[in-house]
Parts: sequence; C-alpha cells; structure tokens
Amino acid sequence: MLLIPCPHCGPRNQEEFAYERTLDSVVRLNDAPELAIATLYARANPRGQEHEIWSHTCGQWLRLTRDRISHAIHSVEPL
Amino acid sequence: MHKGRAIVTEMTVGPVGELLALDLWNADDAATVASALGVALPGPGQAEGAVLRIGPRRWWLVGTNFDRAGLAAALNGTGVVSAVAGGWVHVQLSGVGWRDLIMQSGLIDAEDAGFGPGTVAVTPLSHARCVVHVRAATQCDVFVPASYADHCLSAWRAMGAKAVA
Amino acid sequence: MRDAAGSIPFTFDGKAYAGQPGDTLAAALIANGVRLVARSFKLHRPRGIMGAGVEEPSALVTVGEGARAEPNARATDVFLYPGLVARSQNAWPSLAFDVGAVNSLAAALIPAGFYYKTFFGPPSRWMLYERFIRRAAGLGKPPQAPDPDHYGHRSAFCDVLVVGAGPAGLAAALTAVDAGKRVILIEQDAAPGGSLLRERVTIDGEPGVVWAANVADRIRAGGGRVLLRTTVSGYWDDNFLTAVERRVEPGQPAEGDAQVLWRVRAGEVVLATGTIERPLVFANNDLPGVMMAGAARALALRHGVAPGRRAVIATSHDEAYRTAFALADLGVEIVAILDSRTQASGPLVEAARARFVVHAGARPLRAIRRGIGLAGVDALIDGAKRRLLADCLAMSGGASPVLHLHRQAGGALEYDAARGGFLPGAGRQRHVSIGAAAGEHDLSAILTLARVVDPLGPGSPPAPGPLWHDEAPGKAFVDFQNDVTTLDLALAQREGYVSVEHTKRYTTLGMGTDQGKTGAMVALAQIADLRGVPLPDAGLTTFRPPYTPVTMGAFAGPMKGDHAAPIRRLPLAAAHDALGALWVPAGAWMRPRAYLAPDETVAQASLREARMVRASVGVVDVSSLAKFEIAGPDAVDLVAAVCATPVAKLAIGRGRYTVMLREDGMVMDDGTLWRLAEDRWLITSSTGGAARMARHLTYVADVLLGHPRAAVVDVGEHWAGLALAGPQAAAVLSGLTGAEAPAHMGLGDAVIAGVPVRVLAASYSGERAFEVHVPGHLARAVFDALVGAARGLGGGVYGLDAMDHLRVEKGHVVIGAEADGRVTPADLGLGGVLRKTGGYVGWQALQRPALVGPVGRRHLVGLTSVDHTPIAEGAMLVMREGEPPLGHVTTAAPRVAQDGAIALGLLTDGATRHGQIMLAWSPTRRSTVPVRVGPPLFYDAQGARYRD
Repeated sequence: MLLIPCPHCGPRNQEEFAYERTLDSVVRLNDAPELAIATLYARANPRGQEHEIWSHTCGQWLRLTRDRISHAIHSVEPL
Repeated sequence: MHKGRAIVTEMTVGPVGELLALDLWNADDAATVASALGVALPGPGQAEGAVLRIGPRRWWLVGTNFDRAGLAAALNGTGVVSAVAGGWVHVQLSGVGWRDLIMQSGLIDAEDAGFGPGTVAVTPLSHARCVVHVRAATQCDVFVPASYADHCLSAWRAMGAKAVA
Repeated sequence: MRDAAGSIPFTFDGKAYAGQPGDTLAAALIANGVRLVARSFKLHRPRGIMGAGVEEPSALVTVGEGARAEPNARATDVFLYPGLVARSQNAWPSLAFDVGAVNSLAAALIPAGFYYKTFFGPPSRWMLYERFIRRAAGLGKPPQAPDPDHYGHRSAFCDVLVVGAGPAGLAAALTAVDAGKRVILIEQDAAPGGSLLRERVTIDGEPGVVWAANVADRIRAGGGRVLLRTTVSGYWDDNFLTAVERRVEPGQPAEGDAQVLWRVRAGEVVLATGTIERPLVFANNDLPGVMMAGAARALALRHGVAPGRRAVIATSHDEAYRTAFALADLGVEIVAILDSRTQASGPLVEAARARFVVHAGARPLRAIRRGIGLAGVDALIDGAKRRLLADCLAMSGGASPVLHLHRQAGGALEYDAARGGFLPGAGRQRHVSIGAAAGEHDLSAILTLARVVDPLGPGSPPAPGPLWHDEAPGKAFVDFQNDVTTLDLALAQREGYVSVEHTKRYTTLGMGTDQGKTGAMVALAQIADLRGVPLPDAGLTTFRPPYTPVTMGAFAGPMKGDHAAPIRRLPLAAAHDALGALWVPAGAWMRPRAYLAPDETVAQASLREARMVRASVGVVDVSSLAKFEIAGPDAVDLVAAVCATPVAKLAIGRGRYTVMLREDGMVMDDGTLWRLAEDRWLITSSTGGAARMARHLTYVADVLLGHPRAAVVDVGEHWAGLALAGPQAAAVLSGLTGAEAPAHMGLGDAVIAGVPVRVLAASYSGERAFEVHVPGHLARAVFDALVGAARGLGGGVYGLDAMDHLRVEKGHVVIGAEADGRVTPADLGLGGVLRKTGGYVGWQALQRPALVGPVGRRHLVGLTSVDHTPIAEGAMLVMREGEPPLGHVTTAAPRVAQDGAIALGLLTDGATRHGQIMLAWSPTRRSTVPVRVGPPLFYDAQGARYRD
C-alpha cells in the first residue's frame, strides 16, 4: 500500500490511484505507424527506476518515477 | 446492525437538487474568474460557501443560488459549466461520530487536526468514490454516487450510523 | 496469591474447571493440574505447554463451539472468560489414549519428506492413500458453518507507531506523546508491561506491572491511542502496517465487532517487539513438563501457578536463573540448575549458588517419560551422566530478538556471534528497533530516565545453547509444531537439500502456524553446523505476514454477504420492483432481466416482451449506459481523437453511431455521438466499459493532447435513460410531449410529465426508437408516464433479455460478446464507418500487416439454426464434430419476428462462407446444431422500420 503524493490532493493511499502504463508505452496520436506499432510491443522493463503514468481519484494524471525493486517513489509530476 | 461500539452519527439522506460542475482550462485563472463570476473559487482540498474544489481544474457549485447561463456567459472562454446533480446523493452526517465512520469506511486521515470545517476530499468510502465536505465539528456532508448510495448507506447503517431521514 | 476455588468456569475436553481473572487458558489448565493438552501434528506425541505467548508451538487447542470455534488457538494466547469451551485436537479417541500415537512407533519409517518416497502407483491409488493420510496427521478442524461474527476495518494515521508495550515501547510512546506527536501503541497481550509481567522489578518505586499500567494511562491521557490484544500482522510499504485487534477472546460472542483490522499509516515506526526464548535441543525435549524458562517464570510471577513440584532449570545464560527464584518462592523444589557454560559468574549466578544447587558445564541429555509426562532428566554433570527426578524442566538456550516486522519492512540483519543470532541492522523504511528487540537486555539501559531496582541484579547477555550431537536415544526437536527433529535436518543435508530454503520445504521446518518462532535460530545453528559453515552463511528464509494467524473474517471486514462487492442500483430500481422485475447482475449493476407474468418462464417473458416491441411499443431502462459530455472550444479535437468515425461535420442537433478503438486497433467500445451545441458533445457507450471509457477520455485529453480546452464531464449517473421503441414509439412520445418526435439520429429537448428531458432518436432494437434522458432524481414521473402511455397502446416495459433478442436480429454488437478485444472494426463489418483521415487512437495499428491482409481474420456472421433448434451460446463452429474450431457462437437468441433460432458468431473468413452449413458444437452441453452462415442481419435489411 504505497503512499503516493497527488500533486493536487497531497499524499494519499495507493487505493485511491490507478496505475495506467509506463511512459515508454505511450503511443502518440501523430506517431508514424512504424513507431506506433513498435511501441505496442517493446518495453524497457528496467531493473530499477522507471517512469510510470498513474491517475488519482480526483482526476489528476501524474508521472511517477518509481524503483521497481524497492517501490520507493523518486519523484512525482503532474501530467 | 450490531450494538456495542456503534458510531455516534446520524445520516440525513436526499437528492442533491442542483449541482454544477465548473471546469477551467487553466487553474491559474481561478482568481480572475472568481472576481468575474462574483463567486469564490477555493484552492485544493478547500470549500468556500457552497463552492467545493473537486479536482485540479474543477469546482462544484452546490445548490440553487447559481445561474448556469449567467455563469457560462461570464466565463468568457476560460471554461465551461455543466449540470451533474442527478448522479449524486447527499448524505449529511451529524454528531461526533462522523470521523469514525470515515475512518471505518475509507483510508483518509479524517482524524487529523487539519481535517476541519472547509475541508473537501475526493476519496473512496466503502469502495465508492465519494466527495467529503466538512461543515463543522459535528457535521460533515458526503456526496455519494447515486448508484452506490444503497450499498454505502447499508454499510454505514451496519457500522452503527442511524438514518434519520 | 491464587484463589483456591477460582471464579471463572471453563471446560477442557468436557471436564469442568475454574480459573481466575487474568489467567490464560494455559495458566488455568496448569493450575488445575492439566499438563497434557495436545498431540503433535505428525507423530502424535503427547504435548503440554511450552511457552507463554503467541510463540507457543505445542499447546494448540480448539476454543469455542459450532460456527464460532477457532481451531489451533494457542492456549497461552487465550484469556479466560466464563463459559469458555476448549477441546484438544488431533487425538482419537481421547487425548490420553490416542490411537494416532502409533505414528510415533513407526517414526523411523516416516521421517521428513517420507511422502515424496512412498505412495507410488497409479493416480487412482492416491485417492485411497489420501483418505488415511488426512486422518493420520493434522491440527484442528475448521468450523463447517459460516462465521457468525462481525468484523470491522479501521484506518488510523499517526506520527509514531510503537509496536510492543514492554518497558522500551512504553517509554518510547510516552516520550513521543510528551513531545506532542500523534502516537499509537500496540500490544498483543491483554495488559501492558511485556517482560515486566514476568519479572520482579520496581521502577520509580512501583512494581513494574503497576508502572506499566500507569504509563499506559499517561499515554492515553496525552492523546495517544493504546490498543491491547492487538497484533501487528504485517509491515507493508511506506510505513503502512496492518494490525488485528481482538475485541473478544476466541469463541466468545461479541456485541459489536469481534475483531477489527487496523490499517495504520505511520510517520515513524518503533519496533519494541522484545525477544522469543530459544529451546535447548536434547532428546525428548517436547515432553509435557518441559517448558521455556521464561514461560515457567510467567506462570509463577504473573499467574501464581507452579508448573510442577520438582523443577530442573537448564540454561546457557543468566536470565533463566530468575526462574529458579520465582519457582522456589512458590514452594517448588529446585532440584538443580544446569548451566552449559563452564564458567558462570555475576551477581545473579552468585545469588543462585547461595540458595540452589548449580552445576557449571552441565546440560540435559534426555528427558525421561513416565506415562504421558516428564518424570526425570538424564543430564551431563561433571563429565558423567546422572539422572535427576523432576516433573518440570525449565530450559533456555538464549533469546532471539523478534525481527519479523523489521524484516518484512525490508530491514537488514547483523549477526552477533556472542548471542549466536541476528540483531536488526539498517532499516529500509522509517523504522527503528529498540529495547530487547535491538539486543539491549539491561532494563536500566532501556529506561534511562527511570530508576530501576532489580532485586536479583542484572544478568549477562543471553547466549546460545549447546549444539545437539546425537548424545542420547530419543527425538530432539527443533520445530515442535511440525515435529521436525535434528535427524530430519541431517537427512535433508544428506539427501542434497542443502540450502536453508530447500531444508525448510523438505522438512517443513518453520512452516507451521507458529512460523517456527521458537526453534528458528536453533535449527539454523544445527544446519550451519551440519554444513560446516558459520551461522550467518547458512542463510535465512523469508519473513512473511501475517505474524500470527488471522481469521478470514478479519480480512473481509464488512465486505461479506450482501456487501461482498458493491452493487450498483438503477435510479428507477424501486419502480422496477413495483412492476415485478426479475433482476440480473450485469457487471456491478443489477438490471431488470424480464417482467414475468404469472406462470411465465424467463424465456417466455422475454420473447413476449420482444414481440411486444416489434408489434407496438416498449420501454426499457438503459440508465446504466455510459454518458459523457465533452464541452469547450477544443471539444471536437478530443472527440476526434477518441472516436474512430468522422465527427467534425456532425451538425448541431444530430447524432451518429461511433466506435472507439484501443491503441492496437481492436474495438474497445461503441456507442453514439451527438452534437448538443457548437462546443458541446455527448458520447454514449457501453455499460460494462463505462469506467474504462471515463479513464480513456481523460487519458487522451491530459496525456495525449496535453490539456485541450475541453472538459470531460461524466454524466452517466446524472442522466437516467429510458429507451422507447416500437412502431408506436413516436405516437407515445408526441402524446406526452405535445410536440413532434425528433427525426432519426436527431435530438431535441422536451417536457414529459412536467419534467424537462432530452430526446435522442436512435434505435438499438431496429424499430423506431427514442432514448429519453432525464436527471436521475426526477426520472420516476417520466418513467411512469412513458409506461402508462405505452400500455395504453398495447405495449409495456421490457427487460435486458428482450433487448438482447431484438438487437441480435439486427446484428448489433455487444462489447464483451462480439467485440471481445480481439476484433477490429473490419472484422465486425464496420470498416466503412472509420474516418479515412485517421488521427484517432488506434489508427496506426490498423496498418499492421496482420490486420491489413484479408485472410485468416474472424468475421462477424449471422447463424440460422437449420431446424429451429436453439443454438448454444459459446458453441464452437466446425465443419464436423471433433475438428478444430473455426469460430464460436457469441450470442444466441430466438427469432422475434418469426419462429426459429438464430445467433451471432465470429468465424474465420466468415465473409466468404455465407451460405455454408456448419455445426454449432458444444460437447460440454451435448449440443450439436446445424447452422447456416449468413450476414449478421435477420430482420428489416432495408432499415425501413426505424427510419422516419
């Protein structure tokens, strides 16, 4: 049960958030088809810190940098 | 319902009546917009009068004192106003036990000294995404999604809260 | 000190006894002369009481009766209440004469892991073996009826959480409260004090127990929360801990919640969890009468109970000497103190030598059994074997700091060679260990601000006991609950299960309900010795929550029965009840399935309702559908990004069918799109996908488009939706609104029964239809008016099943059935609706080579039952029975407009197979139905019925 700081509401329990995806998995609307298709299937999957996209129950989308081994949250930014 | 350590709070339940959602494109415009509208637009987690801050760029205007058309005009391209009352049920919690009810049904720090009158929190209670507005030391409004109202009220009655209306 | 009679009646194995307030069940049993309380798990060896708290491995009993019975309760962790009923476990016909004890005789044949090497033969023979194995070993039996108790959940937040109300924890909590912090102090026992409850010390002039109670009061008075009978069960992320509070004892009925699961978020955590005493390892060290020295001391000092008449103390360090004094003061004869150290000194030892017989360099070799308990000890004294007669052997092989929560939190360990064990090292989260848990055993050092007076003087730090080397015949136990002996550890090593993880699983060491708390370090020392490596190199297994067993009800809390999952109710639920609706779960919602007339089956009712719609008019509740308003100058951009159909040219007041794709090009959802005003749009989409669509819309807006000037307003619950469908629908509508009905795919505002509504002219059924949107809290009047008017024209209400029958005839897809996440718009025959200019989510993926070629994709097809036999939903589509499937039936339905049975399906290259006869084959339902493949449309191909 992580404690995640929502940029709008402050620190809240993980239950209030939803993990969406990794930042490197985002397909942009104006990406060329080859890039978009490649993005569908390739992931960095680092053994360490990763940039992730989460949303909070208040509607705020956020970018989280989280260590995937220790779960420590390095930084949070509003999206 | 079981006795013993019942929560000392009463619930008064009813429809919301009128509820407008005000969305601004830029939260930084809040101060300017507030003067133009003649309505205070509070900061994160705050309420001022009948205006609740719900999200990064959204406020709720609760009640019948707001003219939707007039607001829309006064916004002048900085945002929009929408009607959302039908989707919510209003539950007024009275008595000293409302904090206890929130601590049993949710995971938010309602016992913190700072969680006092004028506080607004959007948080799950009994697994339904609710809006909590603290009115006074012994009074708290909870807006429950209409479809979850039966489930939440039944769960809160089982915790000992009494439904008086 | 003890009342001879006792005032609290209880029973054990049917016999009546009485105990005193404050007694544990274990203390009361011993006070009443009951020393045999259990039979061990595998070998059915007689067992008594070994410990004094939650770490007890042997004295497992079932407490309570019927549905409230709690098996495997530790007798040392149950506090007496009037009427307590306790029973022994795993013994038949009785505890004293247990047939299962034959397992002990065959013990040599059933060492650790024996079941991996026996019971060979065909799988069917296992069913025979299993029947006997089940009865041969085990612990308690679970109740057969649902748990009648209530359990609560509670959140709590604090600056400082202190785990353990022993002297260190009390002092820490008091300091924090005095510093103005929000403090929670949690303690497993029924009273604060920890080790003070089994010692005779004075602190600041008061007995330790009184001091502890006073400090707890001061903590409460300062605003701190003190939870007794509460065990911190798990230490999770970011200083989030779960704790289970017992509000009543096992088997005791409760007025409110029987237990409460606390979910605590702490700024800092102070672990004052104390130590668990280690046993000595020698033959028959599990006999009733052999117990931990600290437990014997607790019996004497806390409960005033003598654990026997003649006691031997066996130890490897000073602390156990205190037990000799405590027992002697109760009139127990101390036969001897056996100290395994060759040189023992210090004030405590000298005081003991003055009063008792103390042997240095001495240790027990074998406990002697007579009947079912201890009768004596064969000991090594002065280099020779001597027999001492005793009915109590209080042993101590050191003390292990309780590190479980520290380890769960990710904390490191440091090995302390002197104590032969681990101390808490660096923490990974914001926690610190203090007191005995941190290796500090001197009370004066722990309570630096208090004046501690210990009549016996401080002792030396706890040191480990000697290693067992097959010195006498008999079993020497390292894990008492799972019957794991030193022989089993040696066997595991010999057979190649060298690592501690393998040894654990092969021997079941530490896998009992006590998690091997008592014997863990002792077993580790044996393993290290067998392997010839230093102890810290032998490794440690993982510490996992829960720290002590937790009943399932506590995890469920209030989410049980009708509240097991939140149920969503329609705004018009009461109205449907009044009409006799048959409800069906649809995702999280309850929706009306059909409205049965007397003597009607569901199938008959839904066919009748569907025919009613085709013949005159019907009203169905579609409130659960997702609805979103997108408003603002950039709303069209957001709509165009999400909807894969043309949008920009949609005129104000008009709507169209639309489809939304996933990034990989698959159909994610579908619905309708309406332009309410220049800058305001309405999207409707499926009920089941509502939450997903809500997230998707804001994801596209905030993450992909970077906050366009477009608000996404979820009005799904704001608007109740009523679909009015049938040839008479327009008449019904006009009759109520007094105005002309909107044109097909048009919309307009109107008033029905005095309530402002919005009318959208769209058809799902294939008949002329209108979706009426009205704010949920005002919907009743509108519903009643619509239904009344419909009935007046020979129509009425219809439910989900009828709605499904109607849409199948028209080939409309349902998200989840036909659009199962693996089909593209082209697969569903919707390729033509896509926007050619792209720019919507999924547009790139549609160009994947696998999706561009026409061959091998499954297409949406219509299936007509050749002989009118109903088609089984989910059946495979094959040319001949037994062949690999070419597709499957997604939805089956009766024909509405005429007799017959039809279905929709997904069929490989289905578009090229129209006219073919295939089989809809379901071996599990023994159904094989010949079907003719055709286009997914069975009714009104021209679309004349629903247009103006």
